Amino acid sequence: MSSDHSNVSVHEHPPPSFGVPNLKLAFWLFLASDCMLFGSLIATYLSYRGKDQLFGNGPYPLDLFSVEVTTISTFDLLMSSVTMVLAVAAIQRGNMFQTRLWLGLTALLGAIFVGFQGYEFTHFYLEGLKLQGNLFGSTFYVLTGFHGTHVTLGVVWLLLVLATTFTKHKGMVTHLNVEVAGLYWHFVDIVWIVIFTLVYLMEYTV
Amino acid sequence: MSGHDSHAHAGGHDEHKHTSMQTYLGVAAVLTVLTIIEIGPLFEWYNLGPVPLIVLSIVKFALVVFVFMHLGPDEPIYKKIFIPSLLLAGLMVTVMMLLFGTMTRSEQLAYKGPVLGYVAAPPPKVETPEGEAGSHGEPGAGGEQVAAAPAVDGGEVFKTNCVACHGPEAKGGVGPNLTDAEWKNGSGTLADIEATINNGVAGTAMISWTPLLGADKVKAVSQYVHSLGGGK
Amino acid sequence: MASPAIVLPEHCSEEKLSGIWSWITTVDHKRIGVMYGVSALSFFVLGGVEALAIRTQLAMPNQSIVGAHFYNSLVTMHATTMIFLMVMPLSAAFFNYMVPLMIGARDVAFPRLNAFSFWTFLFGGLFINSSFFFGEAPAAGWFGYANLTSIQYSPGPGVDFWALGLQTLGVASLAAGFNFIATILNMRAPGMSLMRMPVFVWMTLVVQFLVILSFPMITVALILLSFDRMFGTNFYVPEAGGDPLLWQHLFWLFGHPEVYILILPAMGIVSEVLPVFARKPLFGAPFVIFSGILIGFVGFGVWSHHMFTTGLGPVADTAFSLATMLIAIPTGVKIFNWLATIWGGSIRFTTAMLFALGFISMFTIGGLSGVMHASPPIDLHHQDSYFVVAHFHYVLYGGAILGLFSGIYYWFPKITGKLMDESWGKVHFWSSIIGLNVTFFPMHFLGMQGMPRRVYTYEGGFGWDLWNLCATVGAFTLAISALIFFINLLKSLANGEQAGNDPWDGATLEWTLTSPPPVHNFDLMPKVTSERPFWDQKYGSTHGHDDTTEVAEEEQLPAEIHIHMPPASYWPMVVSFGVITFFGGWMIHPAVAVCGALTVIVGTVAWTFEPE
Repeated sequence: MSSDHSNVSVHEHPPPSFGVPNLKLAFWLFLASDCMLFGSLIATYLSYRGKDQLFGNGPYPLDLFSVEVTTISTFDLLMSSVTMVLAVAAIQRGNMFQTRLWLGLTALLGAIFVGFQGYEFTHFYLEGLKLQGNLFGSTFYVLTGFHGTHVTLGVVWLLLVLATTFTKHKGMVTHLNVEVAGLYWHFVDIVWIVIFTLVYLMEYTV
Repeated sequence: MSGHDSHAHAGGHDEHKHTSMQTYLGVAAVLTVLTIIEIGPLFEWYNLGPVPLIVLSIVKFALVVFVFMHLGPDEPIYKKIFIPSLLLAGLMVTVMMLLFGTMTRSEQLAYKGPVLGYVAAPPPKVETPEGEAGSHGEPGAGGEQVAAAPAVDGGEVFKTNCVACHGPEAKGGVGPNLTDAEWKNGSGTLADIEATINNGVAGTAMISWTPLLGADKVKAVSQYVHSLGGGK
Repeated sequence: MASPAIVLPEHCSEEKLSGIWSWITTVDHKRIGVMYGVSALSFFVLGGVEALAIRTQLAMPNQSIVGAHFYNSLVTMHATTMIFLMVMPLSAAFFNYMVPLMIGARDVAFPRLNAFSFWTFLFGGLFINSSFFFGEAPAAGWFGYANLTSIQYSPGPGVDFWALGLQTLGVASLAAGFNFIATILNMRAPGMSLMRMPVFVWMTLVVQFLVILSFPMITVALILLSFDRMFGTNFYVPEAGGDPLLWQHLFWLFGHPEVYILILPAMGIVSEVLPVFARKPLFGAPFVIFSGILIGFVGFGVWSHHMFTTGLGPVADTAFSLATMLIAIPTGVKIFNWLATIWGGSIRFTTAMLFALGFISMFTIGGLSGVMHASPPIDLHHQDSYFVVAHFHYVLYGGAILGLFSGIYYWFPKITGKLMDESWGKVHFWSSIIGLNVTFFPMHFLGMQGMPRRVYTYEGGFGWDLWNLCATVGAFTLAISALIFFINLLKSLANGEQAGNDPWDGATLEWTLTSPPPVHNFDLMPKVTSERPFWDQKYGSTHGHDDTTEVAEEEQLPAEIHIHMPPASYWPMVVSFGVITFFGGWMIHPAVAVCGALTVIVGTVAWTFEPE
């Protein structure tokens, strides 16, 4: 590392041993950890799946699920992943306008998803599905609620990243920061891919 | 998150440039098509079994992870961290499902449901360890248990709830002997026994059973205990 | 060698680095390590006092020195304190202080996140213990089995303190996990390939992977528990179809990796201490490393051996029994490697070495009784008896704590610049060994004679009286040994012998620095050519190179080196405060929790916009 020594500050930029930024490495570790978090929630949901019938303790999933709402919100979240990837591509090219556009759009689509979830929860609640009612109620609200919380935090994060593009802190609007926010956003999307299949689609199959 | 080091930007990013806009949009199109195939059963266009649905979701999952999250072209260290963790999570979910005997959709459909007249609240106490394979394998179990409810047999209630502490013959164990004339709490009259079962004994393992059993079962089991020989 | 002048930023000047505020706002991994150590040792005293109260109560049959319920609190808090507030943070103290030094790094990857981890841990620990003053300490056992933890059976606030406190500690551990893995993987000095990392660093890496993959499961388990208690959900409520076994599975899915989280750091320390005091390289170091990794992996597949008595069925019993027996193999590999390391070495019986040897022998006893429980029929007999108590105290006191003591005696000179007193140290060692055997060995007999765990008193005449008295005498011997340790610690701190940079003839990079190390650690990034860089530098390379650890190209060095140091920050502590307010707030009012969440968000944003 002789080249570094001519660079006066030896320790300011230690060459990363794996050639990757610390932040991104730590973030992938966070995602690995989050896999186990959602894994445990999904395991809980699936362990109790259908058991309410043993107790005659409705309402059951098919009494409640609204095909249209689920379909629209699923597409909505899927498209937000596409706009997110475009935002990352835009900042890579240094196109600030497009970065802002796609980031804003992603946050908007995320907010719409949260809105749909709020609608769904209200609807289910009024139909008689209580958090305290049966196993389906407890497991469904907690699993999808945690996913919804992740989406909400993601929207806040995206808006903060968007805000930094307008501030004097130009150093913060790096490709890395947008990319890491993107990793989080895509992760939220893939968790939904799993929840959508295991919680919703599986009820419509034999 | 914290401590982002905007300088430590070395390496690992050049590869992304190979992921072109066409790739992103192509993958987006594929994801859309796969999702449309997935939602077919929702609108009853056709049926899909659980296996195709899981395969479809795995394909979608992989596309987002490898293309949108760049796990494919990015540095191998990310793959080494994320993929084993994901597999561990999947394995954990699978083992938990096996241990708990999750109910498949066809099992749910085959289940005839509890007998008519069953009221959901208050739910019955689970008699068998419900996570084990046996409980859902015999769909009738729940129904029989409910059907037995009106004519409460104090001996049955005792067998289910009390033997753990008082022993199978009520001769005592952790809890006192209930067949002799000696009474730790109260004098052994029917009313005293019922009061003890209703209220529990503070500071001991004897809890208040009313919320668990309901008044009928408490009455029945009190009569049963009273009849064991020590009752006055 | 014309060494260049080191220029530190203005915020690292002498006066800026003194006073309590400089400790509160510090982001220096060494200071954070010291704070972890001091907190852990304080909690050690607390947990020890609880243990003494337990043993006093059990000294003789039919005593009522503490009541039944308070006894339950004592047992619960003793275990919770020793596991989460003593062994884990004391290990974290060494991770913090030593890992960056051993891999030749300036600091950890995210210094402020590191400070956040510490404060969150401290607040979480104080929060759980504050329950003693707010009505009721948790009394449902450290494993918190459902549905003993339900509102019906634990109506007091204790279980809420416990669940929310553990949640907070989990946040601290997870943050530290991401931080340390990033540090170890990405910030090694040039030439320090993964296989050249000291074994202690390797074990740290394995432990942190266990942390980030197992803590989410207890997080979920505790969330479900808190929902059951606060919002009336049915996850563990059998009357509504919930299954208390779900808790046991989620808890032990976390709990068993946790066992390795506790023991692997001690194994790492012993793997550093033995070679230095036997003056021989660690025998088969790659095997020690790979068996550590294997223990970590298999550790995720054995959780149900804690649950044989719940009736999982023969298939599950067999699978988990086999996995448990399998895990004994890498553990055995390690023990034989340690023995082979000291075989034929020129051994110096310093206190650190004695504790390392004590670790091997005591841990082996605990390990052997552990393998017995891999067999379901034997486990059915031993479950919930004092035999199990004997087993895990041999592993945790005889293993983890002796290993950590070894680390304290070994690294104290590096951290303080003073040597610990060796004669006091040896008294400490021998009183520990005698005390722990007198305390815990009779518990094997008690277990075989059928004495159940977690009973607050017992009848005389079962043949338990003598062994219980014996264990109580041992416990007080252990207390005296701990007292000797603390006296030695303070005495040596005040007027211990000057240690010099390298009192033990160490092999790893931390010994190349002054004692205590300068605030910026290394002047120049060390260059590493083998797994024993400092021995190579002192005695020539064993690999036939002439490279030394320090940079050789002197002619290229500038006259002065400016070192980038992150400025002190109070935001990590503010965010930690937000975290504990968020979790603790649920016990007061949801609005308090919302305030906590907002504090976290505001603190994180402010932290992000701070200059680095």
